[in-house]
Amino acid sequence: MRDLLPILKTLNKNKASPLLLILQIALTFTILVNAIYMMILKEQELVQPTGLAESQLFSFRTHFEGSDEEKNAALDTDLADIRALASVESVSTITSMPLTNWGRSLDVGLTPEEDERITHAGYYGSDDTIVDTLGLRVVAGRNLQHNDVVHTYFDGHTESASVLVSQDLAHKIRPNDWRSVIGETIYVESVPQKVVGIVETMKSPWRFWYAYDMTVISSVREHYEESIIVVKAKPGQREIAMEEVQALMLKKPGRQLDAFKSFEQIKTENLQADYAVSQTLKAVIAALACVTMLGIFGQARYTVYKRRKQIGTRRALGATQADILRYFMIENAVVSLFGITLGIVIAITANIYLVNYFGLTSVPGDYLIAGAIVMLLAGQLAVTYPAMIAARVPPAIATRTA
Amino acid sequence: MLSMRHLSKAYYTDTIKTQALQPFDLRIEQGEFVSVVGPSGSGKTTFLNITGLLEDFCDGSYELDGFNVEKLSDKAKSKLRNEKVGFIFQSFNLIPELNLYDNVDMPLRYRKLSSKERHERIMDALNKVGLASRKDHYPSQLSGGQQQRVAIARAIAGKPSFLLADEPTGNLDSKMADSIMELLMDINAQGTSIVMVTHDTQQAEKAHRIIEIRDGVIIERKHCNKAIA
Repeated sequence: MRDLLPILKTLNKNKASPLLLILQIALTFTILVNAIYMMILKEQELVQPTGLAESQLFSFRTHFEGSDEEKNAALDTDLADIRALASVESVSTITSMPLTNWGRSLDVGLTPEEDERITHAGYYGSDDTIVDTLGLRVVAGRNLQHNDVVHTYFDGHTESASVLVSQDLAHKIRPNDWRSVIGETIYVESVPQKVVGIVETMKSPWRFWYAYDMTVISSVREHYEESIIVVKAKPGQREIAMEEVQALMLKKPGRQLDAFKSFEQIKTENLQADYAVSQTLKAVIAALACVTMLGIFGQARYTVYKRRKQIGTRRALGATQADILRYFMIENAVVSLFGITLGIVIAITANIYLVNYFGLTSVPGDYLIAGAIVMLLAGQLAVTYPAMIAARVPPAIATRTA
Repeated sequence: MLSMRHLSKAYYTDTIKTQALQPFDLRIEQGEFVSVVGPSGSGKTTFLNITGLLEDFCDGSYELDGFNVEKLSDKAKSKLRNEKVGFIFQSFNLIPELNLYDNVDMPLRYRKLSSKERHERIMDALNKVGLASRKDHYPSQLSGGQQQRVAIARAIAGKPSFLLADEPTGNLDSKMADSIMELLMDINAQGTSIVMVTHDTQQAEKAHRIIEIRDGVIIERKHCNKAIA
């Protein structure tokens, strides 16, 4: 560390170019730390569990004709036929599927008054088979039962029935004791519904929605012209089940199938844009890191070139190659540390603004520390080659140049 | 003591060999003041660089204060330069961002000396060149002659056996040049050997001995100005 004091004095005397580098490092640090944090949040969002037996599920839309009773009977037949397939474990009809961006969002409150609404929630109408079919987990109360099920043509949410709610919704209704929601009457779009159970996780159709985690699963089964059927294949047999179900349904005269997709397909389509954002962020982060490292490299290379005679003089006066190498490495570390410190100040200030004005989550301290270490190491890596060139400057330069 | 035997130096490019110094023998005793003269391009600086271990030689042998230079690693040569040799350059080669004190401190920082000892040596050297009171000034605040004095202080602070001076008065007017020569002669009188490359025959005459280099050939002009101290 014998070089530290002269380095600090030199930087203090000759501030302009190190200041520019310090500023570049500071801004890069701020942007990098925030971008990495955003990217990690995005990635976490992409792998967030849906609570469903994703690898076994597929769903499709099909249509029915005839009177109300005929449609209901046709739906029952379809469900029974599919259930009878050897590759199928369970099958249900449901009014929409999570992550499909299509479904119903309704007010939820403990009174029928609209202005006393607690939150919005995603609404699913189905029957007593849905918990098994989707692979949900009832964590309090009971599952829907056969005698809970109400049949209706459309707009099932206008019927009073027994419902399950997601744990997040229960927690929103009763933050201090979410289990106490069991047995309560909640009002969904001002219609009373009796909560009989709570499922651990069930998501709404819209991932960007604030109430994505809050859902109501009602025991009202609809038999509209177009119904959604969701199938849970036996483990490892989804492809066979998809083929068998497709073949079975297309045998039925005049039958159309639409949106015949595995749940992974639904999820991939839904996440595609976010996945692209995440990949772009990664590219931006990598490019920014490269630009900064090139900046450090260029600055160090220029400094070495400018100081060739000074380096030669130092060598003539007794500095070893290692001394010269160390000098440039320490100088870079000092500049980087100043830059990182300034970067931390900017990052914290920017964070306070972002949190206060835009309600974003602040970047955790761990990221700042990790970012600082990475930035320091990147700086050292960038300066190594120019420092090695400096170390190879021959001492005879001291007498050879004017 | 410095002893060179059959020493020569050539530079090579892809196709051309340039013989910078023809083989020569030379011995410089402790306490001697030797001037090296010769026209531009004759090999003076090459000679000085080899003497100061700044450049390698091709053939022959060189012993500096009992060390056989040929067998030393780059690191060992740096150490030997630092401890045995003090350099004075034509254009002073001070570090503009450091004040006088830190400039003189620079070679001492490459040694394992306590900060107290370094401080004493720096102040002692600056006193000898008459600039102790300006230790916090920067080189740009000094005249050329004063800057060369600082360079001399930097060279003697390490208490070297040899001072190698490359045209030390080349960038100075005659009055300043005389005062620098007086300083060098004082230092020499205290036992430090000096090898000085110069164009100035008048200043060269002040040494104990003059060596002339012409086209890479070293010719000793036996000349004694005064006895070695």
